[in-house]
Amino acid sequence: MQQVARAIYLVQAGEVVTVEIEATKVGNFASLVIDGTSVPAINTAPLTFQFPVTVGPGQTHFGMVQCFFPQAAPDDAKFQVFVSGSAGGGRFEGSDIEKTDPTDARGIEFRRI
Amino acid sequence: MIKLQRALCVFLFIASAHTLWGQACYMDAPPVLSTTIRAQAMEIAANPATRDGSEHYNELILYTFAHAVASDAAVGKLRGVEFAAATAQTDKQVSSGALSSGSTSLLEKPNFSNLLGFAIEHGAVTKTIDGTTLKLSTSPYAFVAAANGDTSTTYHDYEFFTRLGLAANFRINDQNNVLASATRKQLAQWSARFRLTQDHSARSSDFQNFWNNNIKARLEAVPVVLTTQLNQLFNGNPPLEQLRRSQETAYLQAIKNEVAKGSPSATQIERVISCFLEPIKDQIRKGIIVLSEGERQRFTQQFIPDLQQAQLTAAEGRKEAEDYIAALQQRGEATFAYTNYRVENGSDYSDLQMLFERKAFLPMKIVANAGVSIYNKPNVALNQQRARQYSVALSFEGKGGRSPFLTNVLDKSPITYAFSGRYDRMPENRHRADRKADIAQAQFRLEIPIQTGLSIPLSITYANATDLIKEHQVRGNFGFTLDTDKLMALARMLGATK
Repeated sequence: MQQVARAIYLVQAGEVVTVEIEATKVGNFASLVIDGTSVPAINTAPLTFQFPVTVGPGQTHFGMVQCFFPQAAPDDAKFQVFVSGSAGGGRFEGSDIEKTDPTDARGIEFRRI
Repeated sequence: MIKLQRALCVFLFIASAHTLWGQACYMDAPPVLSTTIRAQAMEIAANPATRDGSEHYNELILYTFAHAVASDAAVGKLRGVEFAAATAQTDKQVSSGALSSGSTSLLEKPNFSNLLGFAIEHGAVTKTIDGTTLKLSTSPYAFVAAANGDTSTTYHDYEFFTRLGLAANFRINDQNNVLASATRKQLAQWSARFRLTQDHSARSSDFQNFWNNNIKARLEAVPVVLTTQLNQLFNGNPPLEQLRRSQETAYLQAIKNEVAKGSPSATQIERVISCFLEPIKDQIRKGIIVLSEGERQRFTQQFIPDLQQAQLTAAEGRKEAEDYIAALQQRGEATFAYTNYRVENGSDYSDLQMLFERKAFLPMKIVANAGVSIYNKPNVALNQQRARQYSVALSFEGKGGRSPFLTNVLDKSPITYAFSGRYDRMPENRHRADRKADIAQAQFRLEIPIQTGLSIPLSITYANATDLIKEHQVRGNFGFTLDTDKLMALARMLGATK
């Protein structure tokens, strides 16, 4: 896996992508949707999602991380996104999501090489 | 391929021209697009180190495509990003304790979760200065969080430690070096609090389960619609996907260039993004970027109606989540508090109290304290017995509307008020002509926010006597309360919206 931008990653065929979402000062109120389908979490400490790359060359897995900040959460509550792949390349840090941000979702895309 | 390259060249020229001339672009963007552009710009301006514009690119592209192929009326029905901030918390006890001489409150609140928040924000221990008193407070959880980070995992593993809070007050003898007063000699009081009831906060396992079972799927509705459309449109049309990728590269570079100029404002970034997207809309409308009839119909007949419905579903989910949290917090909280007072030129004593808080009737909540004070070593010469004081207190607290004095529209801080009564029985005052053993107090308290983070608490108190004087009195107190959390939150928001 290679990181092109905060929310853009290059992946290989069959590679298993792992997305971890670490919640600070807020509960595990986050989820991952890829190509219209909710990805079930495989772990909650931290919240972890996995899916295999199944698209063809030149195609993309389109994803979105959706979070929720209760009003009672402190203003410095945040979610941090970490991405890695089974083919190596490292563990990358995605865009963070803070309570004071206007939006509580982030797009994320995985481009098949 | 040639057509695509030509389209890209035309597009880049138009985008560059707009940016060079500094014109505002895309003035007719529908709310769902204009507010997402604004949101993306604000998020980059707030923290360009961790955001680069790729976060919302695909959303922006979809909304631009939708605007290009559908009527303004249809796209106009989609909800935009709502820019709102909540700075309306009122249950934070930032003033001095109930027994402090300058206090405007007769009761102490059992909820010290905000105190815990302070402790974590500033490290394992929190320091506050109230006049001539230095207050240090902490909890076992604060130490764990300081070491491991206050993550959801830490909270889940060590939630029990949030039940206990510890604090110590010291008499300050050097205002220039207040921490030097944190010595045993200067110790005025120390206290421990233990929450007896379950965690009813938004981080509780109760709410986590509710979110997992009832809210999560509803909030996913919008991402499901967006990523479904992205997948069908771009993975089903390789040239279009190629164009999307090349445009994304150019878009990210344009933002990077703007950020490289140094501390760009949200408005500057917003102009870059809108100037980038408008030509795409124009090229679709002119047929330079080609969409098939099926792709156009999918926007108008599937994507827009589905997204509209998904936005409603998500909004209902958010409201239901907040309603559940509010219901959780109305279940009531009970805390046991122990305080050890070290009295200069007097007898040390300990105070044991049960504190209880729960909703009464809208918009009021009830706070009740009951306790007993005991002398550590009663001085018989001063008529002291083991029991120093018995006390009960009851308060009804409520919120009014938003303070009319607030000038910032983002600040929703309400006026708060409380009617309180307190009864103290002091056995050592019996049979003394100059003292009264039964002391009753009634108080009305009002707190009015006058500026963000700054409020004026006012109180008027009637007492039939004090513990030292057998005379009834009417006492007025007022002061200023500074809430640095609200000030910092507002500063962040204003910084991002410049």
